[in-house]
This record gives sequence, C-alpha cells and structure tokens, in this order.
Amino acid sequence: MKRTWVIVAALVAALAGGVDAADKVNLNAATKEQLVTLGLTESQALQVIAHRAKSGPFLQVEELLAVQQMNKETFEKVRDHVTVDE
Amino acid sequence: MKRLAVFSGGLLLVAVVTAAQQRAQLESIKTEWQNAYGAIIYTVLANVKNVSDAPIAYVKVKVQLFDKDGKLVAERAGYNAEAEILDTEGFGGSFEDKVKLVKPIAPGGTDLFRLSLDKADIGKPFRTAKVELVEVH
Repeated sequence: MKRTWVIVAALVAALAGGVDAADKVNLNAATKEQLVTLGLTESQALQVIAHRAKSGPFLQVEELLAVQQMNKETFEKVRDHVTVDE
Repeated sequence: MKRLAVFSGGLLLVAVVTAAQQRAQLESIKTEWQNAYGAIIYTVLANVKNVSDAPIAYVKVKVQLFDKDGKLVAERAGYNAEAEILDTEGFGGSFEDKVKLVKPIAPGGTDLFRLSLDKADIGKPFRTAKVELVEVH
C-alpha cells in the first residue's frame, strides 16, 4: 500500500511539472503493480518482468521498445517516469 | 572540428566530423532496440553522404556508448553498408583486394550505415551514443 502511494505521489509530481530522478520507477526493480500504476497493462507489465529475467537488466529506458507487446504509445506515456539508473 | 548533435528517441546522439573528414557526412542518425527472436540488439542507423566532388571508396564509423557519468561503456566500429565486406575475415583476399570489390559512393550520393551491438556485449546501462566518422577513403 505504501508503495502505491509513492507511485501516486510521483505521478502527481509529474503532472505538477517534471519528475525528479529519485521519483522515477526503476525498470530493473519495478514490480508488476508499479508498472501497471504507470500505465502498462498487466500483460505488458508481466512481459517487462519476463524480458528482465531473460535478457538481464534494462540498459536504457528505450529498451522497453524491445519488450514483447510494448507499443510506442505506451512507451511515450511512461518514458519520463522510469529509469534504469541504479 | 564540426559537431552535429541530434536528439532522437530520448538519446543524445553526437556525430563528429573532423576537418580532414569533411568529404563525407553522417545524416539521419537514429538508434533502436530490437528483439530478434529473443536476442536483444541495439542498432545504430545513419546515412553516409559523399559531400565531395570525388567518389569515396568506403567510410569507417565509430560508435561509442557512454553512461550517465560520461564513462565509456562500449565501443564498436564498422563500415558503410556497401563496404561491410571489409569487416569480414577470410573472404575476398586482402583488405586491398576487398576494397576493389566495394561499390564507391558517388559524389552527392549516399549509402546506409548500420551497426548492431548485442545487449550482452554492452553489459552496462548507458545514456549517450557518440557516432563518429573516423575514416574516409
């Protein structure tokens, strides 16, 4: 529940004008729930996690476009809210 | 030294052309991640334009990937598409023999440059790609 509030706070901050790096969701650690909260479908979120498990940590946010079931519309929606930095 | 920076796909691409290499230019540089039947590949694409008034036999392009702190993560070089044979070993004889097989880029003409890196060969997160024309012959 606490995690959900953190995500909601990040989205509110984004709408208020920009997302701080610290508020971004790390694609290499995100749970299915976090990814769904960002706007991915449950199926896409599972594909992100499967991609990570099979191919290793994401090296760039843009690598999301190589995930099965990902499309440009969803990518554009989430790109500013995710990171791969440790 | 002339620098051309292109912001594409959330990635800062920097094409560098030294004064000695202004016989050719890199244009329309873009990068993309591809999923090739499970193999995750990072590809750099560009057009090589011959801006001189003489044919160019081949160009060599270097791609460097840097992390958020500017530290080099990976580096690779390749030739324009018509000259990719120059990267092969054991085919077509010596390098000079292979150059004779390459179709030159006519003055004003263009050729594709494409270079792919396997994700496993990159290994670390990166943020910036530098694409540099290093040889023009």
